[in-house]
Parts: sequence; C-alpha cells; structure tokens
Amino acid sequence: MSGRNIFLDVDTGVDDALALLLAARSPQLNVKGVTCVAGNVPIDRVVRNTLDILNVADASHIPVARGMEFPLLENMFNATEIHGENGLGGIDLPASGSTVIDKHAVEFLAGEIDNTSEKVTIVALGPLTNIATLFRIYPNVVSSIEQLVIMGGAIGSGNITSTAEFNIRQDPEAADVVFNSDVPTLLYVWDVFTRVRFDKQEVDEMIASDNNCKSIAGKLLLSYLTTKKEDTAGIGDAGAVACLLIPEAITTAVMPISVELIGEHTRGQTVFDQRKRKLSRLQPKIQKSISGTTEVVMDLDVESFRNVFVDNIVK
Amino acid sequence: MTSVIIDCDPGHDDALAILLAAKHLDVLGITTVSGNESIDNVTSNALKIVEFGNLTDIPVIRGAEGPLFRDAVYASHVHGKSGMDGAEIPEPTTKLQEGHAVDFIIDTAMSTSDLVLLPMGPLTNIALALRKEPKLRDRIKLMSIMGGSSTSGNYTAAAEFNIYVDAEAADIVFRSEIPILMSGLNLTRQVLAKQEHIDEIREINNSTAQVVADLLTFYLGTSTRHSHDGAAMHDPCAVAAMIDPTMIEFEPMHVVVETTGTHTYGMTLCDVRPGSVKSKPANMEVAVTIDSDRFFKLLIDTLRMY
Repeated sequence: MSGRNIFLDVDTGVDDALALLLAARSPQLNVKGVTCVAGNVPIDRVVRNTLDILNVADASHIPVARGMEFPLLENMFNATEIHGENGLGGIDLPASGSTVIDKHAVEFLAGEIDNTSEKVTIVALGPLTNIATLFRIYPNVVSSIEQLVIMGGAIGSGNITSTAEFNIRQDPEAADVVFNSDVPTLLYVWDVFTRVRFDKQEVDEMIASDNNCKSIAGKLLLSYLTTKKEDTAGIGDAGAVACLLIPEAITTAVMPISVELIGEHTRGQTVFDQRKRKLSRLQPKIQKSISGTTEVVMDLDVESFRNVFVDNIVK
Repeated sequence: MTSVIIDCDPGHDDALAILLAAKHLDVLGITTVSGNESIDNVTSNALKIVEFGNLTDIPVIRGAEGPLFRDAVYASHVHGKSGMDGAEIPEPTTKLQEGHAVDFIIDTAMSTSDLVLLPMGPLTNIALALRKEPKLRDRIKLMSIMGGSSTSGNYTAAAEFNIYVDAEAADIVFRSEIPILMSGLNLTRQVLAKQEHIDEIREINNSTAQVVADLLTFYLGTSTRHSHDGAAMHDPCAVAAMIDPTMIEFEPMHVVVETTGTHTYGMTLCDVRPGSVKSKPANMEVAVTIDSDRFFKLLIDTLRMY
C-alpha cells in the first residue's frame, strides 16, 4: 500500500463521516486504523457510525478500535442537535458486517506506534481523551509521532460557548495534556473549519451521483442544511484531513497555546498568544520553547479544499 | 455640552484624552486610580496635566490606591517610572480637591443630571462607587470606557491591562446595567500615532503641544520596542466616542468579564457568535471600527486650541 500512514481518532459525527470518506478514498493516504472517542454522540454510537461509514467507502479492512467513553473529568455533553440522534444526521447506512477489534483504542495505538520504525501521523477529530490517555500511559510514543493534526480550538469566537470550541470544551484537561506534550501539531481551528462549504445545488448534485461515496457525502451535507438551517453546508473535519493532501493551500502560524481549565466563563478556551515578539535574536532552541510546537491554520484556499474533497471521495 | 468625569491613571494616552476632552466636553472633575503607575505617581501626573494644559479650573481628586482584592501591577515598561516619562514638567503646585474620588463621583452624580463617566484606567473607583451608593445606577447616563478587547489582550495574551489589573471591579461595573460604550484594544489598535503625527504636533505653536510632542516621542519609543507599529491612542478613543460618535462604529454584544481563569483572568468575553440561540442578549455597545484619519484630525486640531 502506498501513501502516507495515518491513524484517525473520531467521534462520528456527520463531518467525521465526511473526513473518513475522504481519508479512506484518497490514494495519498493509507489509513492504518481508526480509533473512536465519545464526543458528538456516545461511544457505542460513534463505533457503529464509524464501522458503517468505512463500509460505504469499501474500507472495512481498516481496524476500528473502541476508546474512551467519557472525558477525563466531567460528564459528557453531546451535540445531537447538530449531528442528529444517531450522529449521522438521521441518515441510515447499511449495517457493516465488521466489528471493533478486541483492543482498547489506546492499547491499539500504542501497539501500532511501537511496531513501526517509521514515525506516524495521527488525525484527531474529536475530544482529545484517547490521545491524552495514550500520552499519559505510554509517554514514549510521543517521540514517534511525526505530526498530530487536530481539529479543535478557536482563535476568535467559539461555538459551544462564546470562547470555546466543542472538542476542547468537551475535555479541556485532555487538550491541556496534548498541547503540553511538545508533539509537532497542526491545529485546524474553528475559525477555518466553517469556511469550506457547498451550496444546496452542489449538494443535490452530489446526492444524484452514481458514485456511492459521493452520494452519501451529499446526504450527510444535506443533513447539515436541514438542522443548521443555513444555505450552505461545510465539510468540517474533512478539512483537517485535506490539510494533509494539499498543505500548499494553507497558511499557518506558530503560536504559544494554553488551555483554560478553571475560568468560570472560559473553561475549554484555547488561549493563543498573538502578541508580536522579536525572537530572532534568540537561539532557535529557545525560540522554539517560547513559541511552542503548535502550528495553527490561519487561512486556506477554499476552492482548493472544495475540489480536493470532491475529487478524492470518488477515487 | 456633555457633563463628564474622567477617571484615569495618567499615563501618556490619559494625558491626550484629558486634553481632548477639556475642549469639547464639560469636564466636572478628574479622578485618579492606581493603574499605569502608583496612585501617588498618577495623581501627580494628573496635576501636571491640568497645569501644562492650563486647565486648573478642573478639580483633581485622588482615588483608590490599588485593586479591590489583588496586588497592584503597573505598566512602567510602557509609561516609564513616573508613569508619564518623556517631558520636562515641573512638580505641580496645584492642590488636590479634598476627599476621595469615590465620594466625588457619587456626590456629582447625585446632583448632576445626564452625567457621563469616562473611565480610562482600572475600574476600581467606579466599582467602589457603585457598591457604596446603589442609587448611582440610575443617576449615571452612560459610561464610555477604555478597556477590554473583543479579540486579544496586551498585558496578557487574553486580557487588556485596565481590566486585568482589577477584573473583579470590571465585573461589578459590567453587570451594573448602566449603558456602556466599550473601546477595547480591537478598536484602539487601529489608531496608532506615528512619527508624522508627532512632527505635525511639533509644528503647533503652543507650549501644551510641545509637551505632548515630547510625551508622544517617549510613548512611541516604548511602543516600538514592544514590536508595535505605532503608539496606540487607547484612552482618547473613549473620549472621541463622546465628542463625535459617528467616527466610531459600535456593535451591541453580550460581554462578561472572566475573574477566575488561569490564562483568561481579566478577559472581556464578547460573544460574537452569529445569531446563536445560546447567546445572551447584548448588554453593551462594543466599538469595532474607527476612522483613524478623522481621529487624528480631531486630536491635532484640538491641540491647536491650547
């Protein structure tokens, strides 16, 4: 199998489903495993949806592992008003015949990372509970991660609260662990997440396609048009996967990041230090320890992202 | 003319704000609060300003020595050790008006209709006044505040200095239900004084303008050293909002102050989510854009009047 080896951590989720379709069909990517975390919907629903959407993509050979049921500290809240009761916008997919593997998601990832001499890429599209638990139990894996792509956080406005984005707010302690781990991270923030969109006509055209993946993708996007009552539907998490396919189409900035854990109004906020500093006179190692290892996606070429999504899901 | 009290912690930009206000608004008094520098320093600076501006009719009243609960932090890295470095200004001979700033604010509000407050330092005095006299809420028409930000901070990544210094006081003020215009960093960063502005002020043939040019030179120096593109005219924006409201665009927003966060203490959370059902109703007007050229024209034309 050619392509870049990646693991996806998901809380499927309408847009996680779109991301899974994109990742599973893109020739540039080799999905070695998918781990499930509770988030948009409870863990067993996430598992079911993940198995079923991989089946749609003819990718049932990809191992799926069940992960953390609850955030590290708080009770979970879910996002059924966005993703529907079943987490897939009310769409019924044919049931996949596959099941999850025996191992817990965290054990699975630790084992896989240990097994290979190459570094791995992990794409985390839900709350960071699995990733944080992995890092805490198996700290050695950190040095084997080439890149961690995360959908999470917000520079400007949040979504679930005025300053916090859903994934980080769902498990702020987990996010804190991950951002303090010094793993090279690409952060696909809420500010860009909403930008890659299709209108109703384009969605209808997708649904009408002969290609099963494209048609299902269209139906998933249609569910967004209905529940969110907007004129356009965004591909959400799939954009984070697209960053791996067309890195030239994004603009990034390295910024120190902290996760607020105890603020009354700001729990779950990603606090970015945007203040300019003259670091050029410092040694690179010290510059890096001040700036951190989080590269934030500040902007993207919307047309390129729309095209890469539509072009790859039919492959 | 609108009757105002200026509550401040001079401060280079406070100085400019006072000079701007004095020629367009009815300034009933200047109250000082610990902020940019200690209460002694900022009060001395306020007296210096009324002297070099020939504004000694305006009473200056000393206020709170520090925040409600926390230790004071200062901004001498921006304003210098005196809090207003950069110009040769003689020690003031003008006397302070007796009494505490908090009582001056209360007494003036109870006896003046349509009073507007212009707070441009930490909100300690205002919070104390509101707590001491509950009737104050109905006596103050409006507050045009310099503080906070709808985007990022300066003293910390998330918080602007005035609110950070005394977030508990800010929280009291923001929940008071008095109409508020908030000129935060997201606005004031759009108004940067540069060398060409200083040169133009230098050309003005009066002693007040010359002192301003000296002060701005110092302030531009520290701003540049902190990687800013100019010297931000924070406090004068809150004044400009009262002199010419058409110069600034405001948006109604729901704003709360964070008082318990580790990284977000002192942050003003302005809910800008589009039409979200989770948003609470707007509780103040937040300034979002300003016509910078019009602002500098107003400022420089006003300095010519001295």
